[in-house]
Amino acid sequence: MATLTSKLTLQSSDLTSDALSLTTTTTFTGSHTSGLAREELKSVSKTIRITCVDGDADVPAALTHQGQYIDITDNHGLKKRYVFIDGSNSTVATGTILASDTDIGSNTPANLGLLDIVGGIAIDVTDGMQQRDYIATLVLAINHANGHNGSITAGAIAAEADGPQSTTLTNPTSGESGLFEVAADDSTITVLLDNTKDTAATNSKKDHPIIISKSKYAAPSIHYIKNTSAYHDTNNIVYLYLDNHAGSDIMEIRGGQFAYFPGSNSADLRAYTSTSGTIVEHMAVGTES
Amino acid sequence: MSTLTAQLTLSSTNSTSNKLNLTVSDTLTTSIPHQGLTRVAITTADDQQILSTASGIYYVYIKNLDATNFVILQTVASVQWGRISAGEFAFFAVNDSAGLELRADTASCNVEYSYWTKG
Repeated sequence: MATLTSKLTLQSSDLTSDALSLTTTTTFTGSHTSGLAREELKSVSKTIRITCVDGDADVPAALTHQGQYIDITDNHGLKKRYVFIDGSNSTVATGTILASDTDIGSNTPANLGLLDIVGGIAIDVTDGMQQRDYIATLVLAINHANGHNGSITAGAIAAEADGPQSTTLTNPTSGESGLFEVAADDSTITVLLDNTKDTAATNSKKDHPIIISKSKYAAPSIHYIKNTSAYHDTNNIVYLYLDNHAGSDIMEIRGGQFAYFPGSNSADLRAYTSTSGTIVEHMAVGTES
Repeated sequence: MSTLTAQLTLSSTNSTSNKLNLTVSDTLTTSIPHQGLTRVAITTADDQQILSTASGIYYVYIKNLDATNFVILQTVASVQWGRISAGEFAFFAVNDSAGLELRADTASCNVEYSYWTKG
């Protein structure tokens, strides 16, 4: 067992008529520590969206995107793989569950060596569509009975336009979190806008790093979190939320500020920021569960 | 506007092969409402509110004065996120409108706390 000694000093001479000078110290024993770590926070929002690069860009050949997929997981852990099929050379409709012998355009997943898309949900796109239409068809697949079927509502996408265009994913169940995972980083879809991390880009809780993992340490474990940016009233603010059904923010840390608390570790603690590129420093001391 | 200087030191000689000796400090601009150092008994009941969901960001200091039992930190929606063991403390900023409640887990605990509104 290791011992961590923590000392907090709070001082103020101008807030009340009596100056504050408080020092408190405690010790904590734990067998493990994460060590000091730093994460760059890129996501600036908790709005979950899937965005194409350019809504009015033509996609002449659907075959180019045959077999490309994206995984989406709802707040209960239901994961679905949505797969583009070449509808110009296949009769498979959007929402169909793909089997190993389903003709997805040029051939079947089995014959094409694409067995990782078996069980996926078809997105039927055809030659001559625009990127906006790809997202619109994905919306149909998500809302389909074989898709997430109501655990996620994929919103309608606006009429074709220049630049990035998105569908926003929400949870229709009152009181539940609308924080879903969109595995854009693992997706093979090439019309997806993911790398910019701005307010228009594809965004999900996968873009919010886990600062404290609920399964890592027995409760309580000690947590130190610091925002390494310089203070600014509106920029570079770090927001922390518990990844549970509520998913609401519980804490915020502005530039130069820190938090110190014993965590109950009831859910993953995730972070995002007001300004992409904010770097958060953190450390945990506890005993692994 | 007033200022609050907060300094945290974390040290350990045996948590890893390298000694830990970390000190962070910050000067916080604060405003009112401010609650000076206060000691209260926290029971095992739900909804013991320290901060409401009223708009604003608050810097909070809390210390559990009990010798045995722990105190739970939770939002006003009763979402538990922290656990202060006997003799331990916490210092953090509550997010706008999240609120803060305390709840003793096993038996009532005396708790010392203070909060400052972000200026």
